[in-house]
Amino acid sequence: MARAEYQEIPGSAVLTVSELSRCIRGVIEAEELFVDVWIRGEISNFIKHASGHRYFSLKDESAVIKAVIWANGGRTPAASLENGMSVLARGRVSVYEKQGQYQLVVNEIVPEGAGSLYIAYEQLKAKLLAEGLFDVANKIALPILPQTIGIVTSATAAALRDMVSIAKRRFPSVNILLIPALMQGAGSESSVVEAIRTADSIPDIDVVVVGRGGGSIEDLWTFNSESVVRAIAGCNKPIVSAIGHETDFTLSDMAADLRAATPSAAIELILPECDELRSHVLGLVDRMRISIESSVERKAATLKLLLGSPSIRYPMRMVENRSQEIDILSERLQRSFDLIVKDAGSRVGTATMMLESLSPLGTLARGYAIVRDADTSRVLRSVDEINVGESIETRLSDGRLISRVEEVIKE
Amino acid sequence: MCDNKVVFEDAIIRLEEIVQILDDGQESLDKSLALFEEGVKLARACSGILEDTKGRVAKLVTGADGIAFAESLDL
Repeated sequence: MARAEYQEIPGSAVLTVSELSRCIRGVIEAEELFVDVWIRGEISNFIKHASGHRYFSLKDESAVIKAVIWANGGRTPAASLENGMSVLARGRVSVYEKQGQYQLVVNEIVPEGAGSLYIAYEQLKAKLLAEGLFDVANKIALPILPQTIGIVTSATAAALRDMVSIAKRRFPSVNILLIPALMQGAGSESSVVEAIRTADSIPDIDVVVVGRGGGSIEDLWTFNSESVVRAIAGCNKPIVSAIGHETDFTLSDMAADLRAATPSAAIELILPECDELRSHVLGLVDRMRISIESSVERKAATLKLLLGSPSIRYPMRMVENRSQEIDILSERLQRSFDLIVKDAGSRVGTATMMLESLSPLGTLARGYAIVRDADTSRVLRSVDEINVGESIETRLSDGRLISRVEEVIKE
Repeated sequence: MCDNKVVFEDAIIRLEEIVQILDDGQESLDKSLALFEEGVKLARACSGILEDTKGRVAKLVTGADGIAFAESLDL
């Protein structure tokens, strides 16, 4: 915005001091080179204000620049800053308009000795990060219950004693194999790398700890070396780093599968407490028992429900129902049969009547008679078939007459 | 000793699996009872391993012949 104003001001215009200062600030703060810059210099006029802001100058043989570290704005080493200290400061260049002063707003500052290390550290970190050495996806999970812990540390370290005693307390049956290594100073890098590789190659070892107690930044520097960091990242077994104290953070910590704040904490992270595990197992058994009991109860309830169903409780009802059905059916059968019989009976009656109407007996009943020759029993159909004096038999509906022919009258 | 870790890890994983199956309650009663029995055995195996106290502390030492061996360590 300031820059825009600067461009809009006509050449002939008169600026106020504030306007000019704002323009200068705009120009400086827009300069890319000034946004993030490392400066080497010596501290002078160091003042720590009650507000927590720290003001000082950085100078070399021929120049000086004002610098400030805001109370919450900078990473500084444990050692306090003081006049005469050679430092490497990182920050951005800004302008304090009220005093027409450009200054370095510092966000990182390290003593010069450590400073070059620090820059090397930052560069290595960026490189390994880009390579994916610190990727969370590459982290290996710790075993639930390691049987053998391989500890890479110095055989004489107090840290070793702490780790062993905590391990024994938490889980008495755990085995510990120390792989001694030089943990600081000349030769420590290759010693640690070698020890990690050895630990990785021993089949019994389930998890590796690389641990050491606190120390100076130089003492811990071994664990920022590329070879050690690569050895940790390349370890095929789960590996836990425990370097220095809580506040020390090394590249080894970033490469490890798990970072513990201290060696003791590493063992606590690795080893479950025997009692805890025991109660976990018991808890599982309890859950199992409860599940099976409720499952049996559910099935029993189902069974009870089934047993309570009418067909099981009153089986005779089925029989009763059926026998009633049978009764109804047989009744129907009987009725049908009766009907058939009755029907048949009436048909017989009709037939009989028809038969009767055809029978000569019926005709006789109506007053007709059958006449036969009494001797030959031949039915007479004409008066010519009989002579006077012969006997005839006359059949009537209820009997017979035997008579003698007195006269034959032909008509 | 060495296979204890396998036994324990496998056992506890299987045990947790069995608990889950039983919790779901989808299995037949016969199968459930068989699982329960298996679970109790696993839990016993786990507890047995937890009771073990024979841990060993040793230091890896490379002998004059260049062969590494574990030497007991008293702290």
